[in-house]
Amino acid sequence: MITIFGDSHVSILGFALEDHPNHDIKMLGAHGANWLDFDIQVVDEGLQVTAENVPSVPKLDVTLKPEGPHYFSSILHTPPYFRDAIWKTHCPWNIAANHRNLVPLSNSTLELWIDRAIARRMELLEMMVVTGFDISVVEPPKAVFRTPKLFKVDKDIIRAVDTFARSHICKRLEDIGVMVIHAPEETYENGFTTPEYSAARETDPHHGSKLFSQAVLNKIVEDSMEEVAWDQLAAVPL
Amino acid sequence: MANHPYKKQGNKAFWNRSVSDTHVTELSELFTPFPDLATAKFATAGSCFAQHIGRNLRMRDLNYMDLEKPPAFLDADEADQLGYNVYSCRYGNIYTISQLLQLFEEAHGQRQPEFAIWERDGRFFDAMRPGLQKDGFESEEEIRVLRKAHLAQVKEMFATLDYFVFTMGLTEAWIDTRDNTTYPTAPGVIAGDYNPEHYKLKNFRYHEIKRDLDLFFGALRSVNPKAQLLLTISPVPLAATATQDHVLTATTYSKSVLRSVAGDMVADNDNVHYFPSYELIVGQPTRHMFYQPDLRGVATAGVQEVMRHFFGEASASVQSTVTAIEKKANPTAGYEHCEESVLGKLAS
Repeated sequence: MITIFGDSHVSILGFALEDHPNHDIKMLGAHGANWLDFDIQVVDEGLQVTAENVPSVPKLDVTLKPEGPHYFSSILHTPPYFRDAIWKTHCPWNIAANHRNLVPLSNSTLELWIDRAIARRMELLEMMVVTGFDISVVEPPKAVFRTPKLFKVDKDIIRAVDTFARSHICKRLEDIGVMVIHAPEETYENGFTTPEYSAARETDPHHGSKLFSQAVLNKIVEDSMEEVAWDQLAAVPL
Repeated sequence: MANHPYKKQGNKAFWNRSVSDTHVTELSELFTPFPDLATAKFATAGSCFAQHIGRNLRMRDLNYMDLEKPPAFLDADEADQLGYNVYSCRYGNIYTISQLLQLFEEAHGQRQPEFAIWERDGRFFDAMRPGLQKDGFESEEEIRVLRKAHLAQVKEMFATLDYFVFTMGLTEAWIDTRDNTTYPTAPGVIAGDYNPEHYKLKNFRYHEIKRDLDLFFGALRSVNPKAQLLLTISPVPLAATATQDHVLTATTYSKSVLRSVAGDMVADNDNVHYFPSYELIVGQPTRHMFYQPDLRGVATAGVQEVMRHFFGEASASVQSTVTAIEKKANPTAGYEHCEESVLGKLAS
């Protein structure tokens, strides 16, 4: 069984489930804010993750068992960084030449912010690695094409912050041995998710379209098949 | 009783009246606070101890200048790690007057250090403020871009401040023989590599420091005619000396020279003032009780005592603010960023 768990991007991936009727895929989506801080309990044969950070939505309560490949969506959700009001007055240092009225920030400044924001999720992933889970991370869409207009943040800044944040988090994941299923290349151009791969609803700030879900779920299923193939190969006596 | 020249002197002029018979916490008349303390724009810089003055001005909601505020997404500890909220700009510690003069000149496009990016383990450091990010920067270009923005704020600070509070800390410094740049730390201590052909020790003499301070103050007044200078001397002894002297005598030399320069600057200029934080910590009345066990670090009580003199005799409006804030805040919260203290660790 393939388990995909995490934030609202998981629910969007559910639109593509019908493409894979022969695969056993379990989707455990919850509000993104519930993945910012949560409790982890070691229970029989697995880990129970609970949180109730958003009063108006169902609480997070999932039990993960180390059977089959797991895919986690949430930690690469970068809009909280690139949509922050700070970018009205500041910019990443590497684009400062084109934004002389803004105060440049160092990479370390952004890294401190991001590391604090992802700390709890990194703990969960490390626990999963240590306890023998086959765990990977799924990358949500790059900033959707309408983001600059929707949030009145400069396009260069969104691209620079989004690129930096994803790259930094991927390095952290690599450090603990967690692979990433990246957003398919055909879904974005110049750092932004193209209109056909962005959610159709005009006010949707960051989700992908059904087309995006299909492209990503195909990658996940392919990845899980590779895992199975390697497992079978390892079982063959030499 | 015959007339004599001390007859009109007040109590503060007599040791037995103002020191011998007075508890250290009741010493008074050592400093006359500025009448415009509540409204004037203060900027701070200098050796490690200077951080206390800035922190206390900030804490009291006075008109403390901070031209490089941390981005709102950082919490207080993170901002501190990145050298925010330490001084009015993120220049780190400025230990010598030569370094201060250089900063002013660099901010005004009059000089440019040529070899001021140092490396350690593949990371790069701004040699003029090597403690800014403890792990350095990813590239030389990142340092150049951030330094340019920093210098613009420094220039703005000098142009708009009312009082520049500067704590003089050291006479010893390391000089680049290639372009005569004075660094805040020795190469190889935080980053860089010590090459005797490129770097040499300079123990600044009285006349050199006085000349540099005259040049700085003249330059400051030329861009900001209303600027006033408040000098203090750090009571923190040298962590180490690079001379052949004992560190104790090297400390005495250093502090004595700096104290002399400060005294003469005040004597020579109406707009230069002296605040005796040095005497309040080092002087006989304390019997050195304000030092931590290593006899170098200044204890919390000492900092509070210094601040009592800085703010304590201020106007009623400031005093009420001070009292209210002292009730709710720890005046020594945070810690001192001090590159020089790294030298002490070299011996352990």
